[in-house]
Amino acid sequence: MKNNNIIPIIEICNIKKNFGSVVALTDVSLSVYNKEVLCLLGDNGAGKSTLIKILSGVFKPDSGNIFYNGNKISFESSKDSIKLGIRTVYQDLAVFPLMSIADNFFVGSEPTKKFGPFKLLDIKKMHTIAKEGIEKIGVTNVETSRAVKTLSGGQRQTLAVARAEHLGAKLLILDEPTSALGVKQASVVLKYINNAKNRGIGIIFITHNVSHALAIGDRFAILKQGKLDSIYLKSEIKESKLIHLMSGGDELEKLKKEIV
Amino acid sequence: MANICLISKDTYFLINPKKYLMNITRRPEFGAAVGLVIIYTFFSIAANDNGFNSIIVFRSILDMSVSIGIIGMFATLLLISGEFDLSVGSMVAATSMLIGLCIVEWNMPVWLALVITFIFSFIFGALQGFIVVKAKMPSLIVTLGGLFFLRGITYGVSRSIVGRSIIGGINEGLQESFLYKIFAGKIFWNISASVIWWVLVAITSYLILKRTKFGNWIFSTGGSEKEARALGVPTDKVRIILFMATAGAAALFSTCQVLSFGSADSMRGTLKEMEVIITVVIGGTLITGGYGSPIGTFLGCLTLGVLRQGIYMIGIAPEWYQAVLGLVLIVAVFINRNIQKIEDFEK
Repeated sequence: MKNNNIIPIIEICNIKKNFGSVVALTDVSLSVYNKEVLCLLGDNGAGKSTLIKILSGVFKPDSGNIFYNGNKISFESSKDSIKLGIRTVYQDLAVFPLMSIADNFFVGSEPTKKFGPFKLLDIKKMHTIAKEGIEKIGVTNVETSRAVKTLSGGQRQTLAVARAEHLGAKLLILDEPTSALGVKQASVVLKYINNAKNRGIGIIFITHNVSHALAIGDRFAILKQGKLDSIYLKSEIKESKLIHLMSGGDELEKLKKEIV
Repeated sequence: MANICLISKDTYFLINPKKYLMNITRRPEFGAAVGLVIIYTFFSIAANDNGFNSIIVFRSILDMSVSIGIIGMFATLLLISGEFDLSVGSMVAATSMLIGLCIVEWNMPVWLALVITFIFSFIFGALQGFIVVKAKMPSLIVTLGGLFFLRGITYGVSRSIVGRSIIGGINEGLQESFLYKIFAGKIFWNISASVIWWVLVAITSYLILKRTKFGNWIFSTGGSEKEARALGVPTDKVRIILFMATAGAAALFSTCQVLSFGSADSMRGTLKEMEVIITVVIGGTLITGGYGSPIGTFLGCLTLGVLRQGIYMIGIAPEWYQAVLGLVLIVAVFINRNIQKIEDFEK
C-alpha cells in the first residue's frame, strides 16, 4: 500500500506533545493514504488518544508539522480539521440515542431551506438522505423518525461512521468503534469500514482487538510510551507477533517471569 | 425496546392507525396531555357548582398558567440543552424593580425603561451562561448563586434608593399608551395580552427546537456535549444563548406583570424557579437533557393553572395546592419514565 509516488492524505512529522512535565508524544511521524486502513495500536497511555486529538484539532502539538495532501497546515480548533474532511468517531458517544435517525445524521451540518427571511430545516431532505444512509448500512424497513436508541449497538456505531462519510470525510479516525460490541455486531461495523475504504477514504482504526485489526488493517503502527515503536505492512507481520505486540509484549513476559 | 416517533407524518394514521396511536403515546408530551385532561375533568365536575366552568375562571386559569409559561418555554429549551436556571424567580423581581425605578424614580419613558431592563436580563443571563460553560461549573450551582445574589441586590438597591422594597404607581397615566396595550392590555373575552405573549413564545420555542438548525444543536448539546462539539456544534454558544433567552423571558413576563399591576416588588417571583422546573419536567422533558418538548411544558403550565384555580374553587385552603403539586410532579415523572421507557438513557 505504501507508495512513494502518491501523496498521503495526512502526514505528520516529528510531532511532540507534553502536558506539563508529562511527555505524551515524542517525535512521532506517520502518514495515511487514500484507500487504506492504518491500525493504530498500543497500550493505554501509549499516546493514541493524544495523537488522534492532535489530528482532529482538539490539541495543538508543541512541535512538529502536519501536512494535508502535501500542504502544511495547523489546526486552531476541531472545526478546522472538520473543514478539511477529518472526522473522528468515538466509541460510546458516537450517536445521540434519544434523537431520531434523521436528526442524528445531520448534527452539526443540517440542510436548510429558505422560508421568507428564515432558514428552516429541510426535513424532507433530511429523511430522504438518512433513509439512503441507513439502507447503505443494511438497515431497511425502519422509519428515519425513530429514535436511534431503538437500533442495535452495531447499527448505531455504523450509523456514526456512515454519517461521517456522508458529511464528506476524507480521513476517518475511528476510536475503538468495535470494542463494546459482540462478534456479529462488530462484523457489521468492520464490513462497513472496509467498504468505506474501498470508496476511497483513508482510515485510522484504533482497536485492542487483534482479529478486528487483522480483518481490515493494511498497515499496523504500534505506539509505545509516546514513541512510534514500529510500523508493519500486513504482509510483514504474523498474527502471533501482532498479538505479542498488542498485549503488552515484553512487559507481560517480564511479569510472567516475576510471577513464576 | 420501544420505538419513539419524534416526528410523525401527517398522513401516517391512514396507513397504520394502530401504530400511529402507539407513536402518539410515545411522544414526550403525551403524559402531560393525559394528566391535564384528567385533572381538568376532575375539577370541572367537583367544582362545577362553585362556577368552575365559567369564562372568568378560564381567564384566571390562563393568567396563572402564563405566570410560569412565558419563562417555562425557554427554560424547556435550556433544560433540553442540559442546563438549569434557578435564578428566574429572582430575575422577575429584579426586572420588576428596575422598570419601577426607571419609570417612577428616574422619570424615563416606558420604552427606555424596557430597553434597559431587557438589556440587563440578557447581560445577566449571558454572564451566568458564560460562567457555566467557561468555568465548567454546574448550572445548578451557578444559578443558585444567581438566585440569592439577584434577590439580595434587588432588595438592597431598592431599599437604598426608595427606602422600601415595593414601588407602586408605575402604570399611572399610561393606560392609553401603545406599550401598555401591548403588554398589559386585554383582547377578546377580556383575556390578558400576556396570554398572547405566552402563545407567541411557545410557538417560537417550538419552531426553534423542531424546525431550525439551532434546535438540532440544542438536542445534541444536551444529548452528548462532547460528541456534539466533535461534529462542529458550537455547544458553548448554544447554552449561553439559551441562558440569555430564559432570562429575557423572565423580563418579558415581569414587564407584563408590572404594567398590569402597576407595582414592583423585590419579593416577587419567589419559588417561581421551582414551579418552572416542575412544569418542564411534567411536560416530559428529561431532567438530564437531550429530550423534551415545549408542547409538553405548555400543557404542564395549564395543568398547574387548573390545579391552583381548581383547589381554590372547591373551597379548601389554597395551600393544599403545594401538596398536590408535589404529588403530581412525582406521579408525572413516574408515568413519563414508564410509558416512554427512557430510563436506560438517564445517566
